[in-house]
Amino acid sequence: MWRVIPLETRTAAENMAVDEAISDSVAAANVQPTIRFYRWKPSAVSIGCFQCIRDEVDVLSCESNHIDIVRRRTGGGAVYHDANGEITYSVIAPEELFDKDIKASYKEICSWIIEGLSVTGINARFRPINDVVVGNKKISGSAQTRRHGVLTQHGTILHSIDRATMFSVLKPSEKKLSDKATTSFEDYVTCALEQGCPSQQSLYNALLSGFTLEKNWKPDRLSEDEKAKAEKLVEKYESDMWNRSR
Amino acid sequence: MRHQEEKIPGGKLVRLTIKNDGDNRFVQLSGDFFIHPEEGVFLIEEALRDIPENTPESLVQQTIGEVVRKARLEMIGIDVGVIARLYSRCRVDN
Repeated sequence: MWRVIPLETRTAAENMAVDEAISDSVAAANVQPTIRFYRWKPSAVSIGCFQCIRDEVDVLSCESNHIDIVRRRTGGGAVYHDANGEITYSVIAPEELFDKDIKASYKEICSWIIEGLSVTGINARFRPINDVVVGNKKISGSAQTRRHGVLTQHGTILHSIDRATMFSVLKPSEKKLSDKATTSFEDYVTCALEQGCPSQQSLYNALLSGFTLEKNWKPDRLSEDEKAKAEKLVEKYESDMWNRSR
Repeated sequence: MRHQEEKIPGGKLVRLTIKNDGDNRFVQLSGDFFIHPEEGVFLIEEALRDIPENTPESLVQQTIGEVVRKARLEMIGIDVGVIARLYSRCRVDN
């Protein structure tokens, strides 16, 4: 049985703290494997755990636009999480529910995104290592960690894009496009709205059905223990010691 | 400070930064790659710190390969070859 935590909105630090708190609970076998959907308010930039903040983020632009910055516990790239433009998911479950091969497990969980997008009429496909694309444009990216026998994968699905803000706060290296079929970051991404999905609610409904297809599941909420753990972990995700460690 | 980066085709962007400050040497491997478990990056950085600058690239690759094997690190979007290449380029390009 899967536990599904319906779409909720939190700050960047809270979102990362909640994912880690759930991972701890799953590791202790206190809760069911969990699928969670969430948004970020205020808007935020998350960076991968191996990234260097000064290389990836225009910190001054974030500050002047009241955009939070948080370091994830997963690798991968920097992401702009528009408070009004995307849905983030996390899948937190015992490792044995998934392929031992990490790349294969990316493909499996991304197939749930693809299934969801297909409900809205969007024909998307998996692009290794960890992307979902429409044509050659990225609509979703994910990142995974495995700790204490628990897989945590989180990722975003874009509904609408504020490209001006996205590329004023992110500083992607041009080299990232060197093996892609485009020369500009603005053209490199797309979103559900541009692909014909009119509202964020319809995207969420579609993703919920894609993620839960052929699963036993029930909507639920965080346990009291998870809430308490998350409250403590917020301090970590708000701290410079963590966020500016690289 | 010396800084080199490389995008692996079909892989990720990998950056290496080296700073020498007297007897202290700072080595940082950064980018959008994945290393499992994540703490493995510190083992790689520590090993790079201890490798003399004039070490041939092939030996750098071998040394880092040993670290990866011993710690059973799984690397995705990054490999020991690119780490060794960047280390060698950092040495050349001041």
